[in-house]
Amino acid sequence: MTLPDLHLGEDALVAYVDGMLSPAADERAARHLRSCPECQRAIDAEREAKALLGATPDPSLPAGLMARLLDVPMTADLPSTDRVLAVDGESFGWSTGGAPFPHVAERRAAAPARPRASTGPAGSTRPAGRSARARRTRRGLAVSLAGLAFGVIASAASTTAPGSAAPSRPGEGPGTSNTRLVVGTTTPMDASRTFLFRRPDGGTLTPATRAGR
Amino acid sequence: MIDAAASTWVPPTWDEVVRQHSARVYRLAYRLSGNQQDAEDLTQETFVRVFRSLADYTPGTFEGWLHRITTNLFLDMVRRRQRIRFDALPDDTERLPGRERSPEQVYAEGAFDADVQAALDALPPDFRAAVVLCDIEGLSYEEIAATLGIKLGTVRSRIHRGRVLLREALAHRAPRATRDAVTEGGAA
Repeated sequence: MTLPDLHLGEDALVAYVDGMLSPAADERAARHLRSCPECQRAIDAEREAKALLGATPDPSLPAGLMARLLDVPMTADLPSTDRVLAVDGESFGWSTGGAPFPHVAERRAAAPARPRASTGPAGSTRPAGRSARARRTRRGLAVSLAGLAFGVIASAASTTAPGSAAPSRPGEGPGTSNTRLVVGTTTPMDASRTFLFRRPDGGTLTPATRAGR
Repeated sequence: MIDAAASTWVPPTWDEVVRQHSARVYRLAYRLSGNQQDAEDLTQETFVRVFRSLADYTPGTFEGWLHRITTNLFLDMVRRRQRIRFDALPDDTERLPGRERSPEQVYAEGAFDADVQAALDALPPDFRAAVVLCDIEGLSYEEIAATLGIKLGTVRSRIHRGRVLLREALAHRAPRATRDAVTEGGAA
């Protein structure tokens, strides 16, 4: 819709209503409005729309949303740009910079059912929370990748009943004795519970199932 | 509000961040998206982004940061949907018809909110964002320009045109000035 006979331009009109004109421009506009009912009507209409919006009540937070927001540190993906997939003996998983909010790490560390990539000695130099794997789908992806890289072990581990702790297995990684392996089923829900880590020192796969602490 | 004393700034706990800002984020998300489901998703995703980016946070910009994330997530969402549904339609000129409401609804207490929201929903998303940030969130033109990444002149233009469209849609809500302005006549 257009207002062809407006004497105040759109910019002036809206800024006048919002009180964002300079004092001089504001005075000029006010003077014009005193002698121009047409512009005054446009101003009133604009004010009316503004007032209607301002009168809308605040929506109340839906039930459960607050809890989900509080849980974000334990459910959110970590930034993909910070993710490091390393099989060079240092770590398998992703590491991020130091957490500026230590309580976040504490929150994650306190989570009972979160498998953490930092259970091995190599991970102990990183803040536990920031290196923790989070969302289930990502877990599934990581697990899939691990399965591709170490198919023998993956297929062996996938026979493990979902949700149950797999027994320790002899290390069968193809010549990466210092690499922690993450294997398991590719079902996201199950994957979170069948992580196995190969310790750099031990040379065996250690069940990390529900290793929340 | 985070105090300006950045030197003595102590990082808030995540609980504090959520409790302090969730209502505002949800309000913005709700007014932009017009429905609870999208508003919840936008709010959740906003806090996920906040959490991921905590390392980059500098004290004093938290609210502007939240506005920017929420609004951009919303605009991304509608653009994604528009690409699917309204690929052939030109920008900014097409809008969905407002929902029809019965007189009972119109005058019922809760209907006011639904009415205004329906009018908002009918605005092109870019206009809606500008109007909501201005008239509901109370941001200055400069803040809106920064939030949306547009020029001040564009901010003013979108607010004005958004209000004009709102005024049309809500003519029955604003008996005096609005009706006069829309019909170009009648005694005030």
